[in-house]
Amino acid sequence: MRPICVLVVVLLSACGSESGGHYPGGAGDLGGAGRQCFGANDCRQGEICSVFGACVPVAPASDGGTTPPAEVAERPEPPASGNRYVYVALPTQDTVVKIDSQPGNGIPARTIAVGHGPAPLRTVPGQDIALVLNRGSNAASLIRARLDGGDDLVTLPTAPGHNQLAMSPDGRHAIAFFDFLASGGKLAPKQTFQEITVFALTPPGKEQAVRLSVGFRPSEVQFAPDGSAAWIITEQRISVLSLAQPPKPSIVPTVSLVKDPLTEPPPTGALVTRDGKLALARQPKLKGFRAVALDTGAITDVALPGEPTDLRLTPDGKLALLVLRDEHLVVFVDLPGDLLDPAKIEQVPTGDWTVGQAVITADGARALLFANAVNQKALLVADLKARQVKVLPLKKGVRQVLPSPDGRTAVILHNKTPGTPAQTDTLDEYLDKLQAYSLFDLQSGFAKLQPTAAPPGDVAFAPDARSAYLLLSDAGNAVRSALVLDLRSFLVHSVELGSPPVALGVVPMTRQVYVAQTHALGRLTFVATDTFKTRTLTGFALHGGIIE
Amino acid sequence: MRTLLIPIALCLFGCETPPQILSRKLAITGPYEIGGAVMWVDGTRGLVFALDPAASPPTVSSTRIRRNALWAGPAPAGDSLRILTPGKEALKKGELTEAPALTVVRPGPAVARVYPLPSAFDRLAVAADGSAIAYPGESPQSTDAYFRNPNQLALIDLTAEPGEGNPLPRTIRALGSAPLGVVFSPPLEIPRGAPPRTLALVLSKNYLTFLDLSHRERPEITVPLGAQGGGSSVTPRQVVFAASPPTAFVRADGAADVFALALDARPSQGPELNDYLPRVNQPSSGKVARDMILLTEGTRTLLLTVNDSQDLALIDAATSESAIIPIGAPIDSILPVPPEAPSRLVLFSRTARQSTVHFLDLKDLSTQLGQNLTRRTLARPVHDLVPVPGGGQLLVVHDDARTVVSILDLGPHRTDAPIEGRLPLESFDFAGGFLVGVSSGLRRLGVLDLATLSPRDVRLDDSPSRVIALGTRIVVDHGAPQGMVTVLPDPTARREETHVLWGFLLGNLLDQDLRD
Repeated sequence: MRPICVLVVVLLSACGSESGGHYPGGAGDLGGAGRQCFGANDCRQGEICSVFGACVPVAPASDGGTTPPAEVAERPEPPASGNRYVYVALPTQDTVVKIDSQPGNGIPARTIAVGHGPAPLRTVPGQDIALVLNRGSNAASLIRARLDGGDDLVTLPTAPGHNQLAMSPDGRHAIAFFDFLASGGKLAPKQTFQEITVFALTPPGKEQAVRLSVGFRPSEVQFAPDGSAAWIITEQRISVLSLAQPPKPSIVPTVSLVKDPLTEPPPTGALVTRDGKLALARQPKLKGFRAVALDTGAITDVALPGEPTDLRLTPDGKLALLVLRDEHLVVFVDLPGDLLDPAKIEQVPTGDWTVGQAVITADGARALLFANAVNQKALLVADLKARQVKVLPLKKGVRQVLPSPDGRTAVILHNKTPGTPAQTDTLDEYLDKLQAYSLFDLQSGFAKLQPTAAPPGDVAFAPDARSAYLLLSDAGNAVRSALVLDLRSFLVHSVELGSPPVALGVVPMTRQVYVAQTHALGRLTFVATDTFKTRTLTGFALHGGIIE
Repeated sequence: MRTLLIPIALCLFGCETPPQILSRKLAITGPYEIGGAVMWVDGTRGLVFALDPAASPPTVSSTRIRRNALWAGPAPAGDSLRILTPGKEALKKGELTEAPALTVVRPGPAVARVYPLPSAFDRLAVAADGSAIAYPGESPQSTDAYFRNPNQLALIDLTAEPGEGNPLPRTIRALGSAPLGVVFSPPLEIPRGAPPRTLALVLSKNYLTFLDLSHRERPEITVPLGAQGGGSSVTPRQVVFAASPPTAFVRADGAADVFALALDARPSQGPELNDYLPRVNQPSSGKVARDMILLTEGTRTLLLTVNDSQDLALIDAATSESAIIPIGAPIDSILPVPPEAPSRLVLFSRTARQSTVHFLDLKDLSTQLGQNLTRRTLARPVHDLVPVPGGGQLLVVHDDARTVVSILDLGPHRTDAPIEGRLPLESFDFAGGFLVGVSSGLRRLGVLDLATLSPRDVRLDDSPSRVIALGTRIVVDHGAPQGMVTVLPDPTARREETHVLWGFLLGNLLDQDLRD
């Protein structure tokens, strides 16, 4: 028997389970308007993702000219693993299943009754504590694992209509809010667009839930690295919430991101520096970027030769990186100094190469630059210290780049041109029509192209960055597998799965990767990252129906 | 069931009204092979007849039981006969009243133990340790009751005398269905090192129910087999148990995979609460299984299934990972050879007749996989395979009518010797290296020496119905309503060495004090 080591976690809920990858499946009622999405990449060609998270046809350009295609952004969902356990919310059963990843004793699973319609679910990083939003009962359930295998359950009230949940890095707070993009156009009774619920999760026994008012249409919550503050990104504002003290019901102080709320469009991609002093954003039609001082509200527009297509911050918050696709420029902005003296901003041209997006490695040493709006077969690597950009060739165009946790390698998901590879094609044409990914060594620039039988799906990295895991799923061609990518040798093992995989994630304590699969009764497979041996649990949805 | 019109006995009773029982049809069931005896049940009069073929000459004794037997069957060890009776209400003064009961009859000399039951049951499941559960079948034969609870059971300890709490009536939790059957686990240590216990698993449509027979006061545990409200229809058909770790594997119609229910120990929450909980898993072969068997390879427990997709799935019970062995032909049956400690499996299809039979060597199967698979194409399609005692041969039935059988040798050459018959082989058995068979249309007993394949016949006085081998002794039941058997001391016996008994089912018919 061939050992199979991939961890497969089965998602039972189309809406709720999130595990280290993008999962657009949802149960929202779109009234037949289109599929649910989180980004344009989830939609077919010729469609975009609407504000309600639905794929809709692209409106024709009014000027009749050629409109540059939009860059396609991914929106990954955080995993639902704690330290040892994986948590899966089952909305139809009003339960959460806690699955033990510890090898050696089967795959024990425990069903925990929570509120109505649980989803989404978030876990405290590195701890076996899960918080799940019970959308149907306007409450949240906090589940703490005990050493004896049991769980302590606390129910906290929420404002009506919340459908999104964000966990602070220290696990002391979480914030629930209503996200238009995740709603699918479905509004709850007494729906509110401007309320959040802040959960104080510690100390045990003194948990609290507090409702607060924020700006219109919150879309994202960012936390300070130490969990002392949260910044709720709303349509035209940032609501700045201090978590140093338990919050009280109030209007959260907001800072405007626009100079004129009546005429200016909302900014895109607002990022807050880790010290909470600055928010940077891209403003539509602004050739440059906007910096907002969160303490004074002062808005500074920094001029650049063009409108950036991406904006990133290094982990230490000292450098902002912008890419100007049409101008073929990469811009390095030292913070906060360059805001005061924009002349010191460094702009590095990329020549004939197009850069539309950037990804910064976890160590902050490099940025990986690419464009997926064009079929460009290259990856640009920026040395953030030396402020240099080098171009490294690839065999196919790029859809997405995922750097490993140690910044040494990257998994590159490639685009595919329409059509099926034929023997009459040139080699380049043939490769263009293949589904594929590449493994990339950032030091040497070595790239290994790997064709696949299905579009490359979610990717997760082992904590030690020695391996990565990639999902392949194509129901029409009976492709359902997880690829185990050895990031030292670039050798690949394929693990066949019993059902189409939908998401994956990592369980730190047991060094396991889990892969969720679609199955009527729930299916999840664990892969040991050191031995690649697999264990599968199927049918855990039945646990909630066991009666004593 | 044979019927007998009671002969005119009014005259024997003079002016008194004869009992109604005399005008009823005799309901005879059997024969049953029990120990070294052969038994018949007269449900009308409430009698069990036991033939001792070893006596010289063979003798028949009778034992009184209760009337209107609904079900009769041998114990798993074959040492006793169990009969379920629904009870009887006296309609007139002087008539007998009987409560529903389970009667256990042992031969030599026949003795009966009666367990009164709370209701009329027509099915009985018995474990090897003497635990038994009586339950109503799907199609109840007793229809006199106004209400009927299909989920009412009776838990019986057959090793103990009937008394308070034995049997113990119990209504199990239902989810809209009724028991289809009951299976028993082997003694299980939950957790390891604990005193062994026997669990009963009640099979119902869409769910299973666990009963801890070592702690009968504890509540049952109901495990669903499908998503609630999912509209699925899952019918459990087959259960095998693994002892370590304690696990029940369930094959079900309507399920795309088998169910593995690991019985996890948990801290005791009280003497009247369960100290274990089933954990459901479906080993991810993703195949619809038609038959399955549990194998051990070293310390590993493996489950082998034959699937609708013309392949085998070898599933590691601990990890649920599976390996597929393609067959490329329909298979739905697994025959372990030899049955007690199989070293190989014979795979074939009973429903889609194929001429090819597959052999799977079990040595290092998990590593060898398809390399352990061999095939043998026979001259004719195979309808059924029956292992011959000894493990070296198989009786191959080639057609529904059983006019053609063959003996398949399991040696290295796997020779296939056809044996032709004039009539369908209606009943057969194995007696000390011989195959014996009868057909109702021929008054002869066929005997085949399995070593030399040399056939011979023994003439019979009447048309045979069934043949039973008890060791080397052979009993041919002729199916006569009055009772008629031919007894041969061994398969080589000549005609003049046989004994014929006739009329033993009417023994003492008019001498007994018959009452309604």
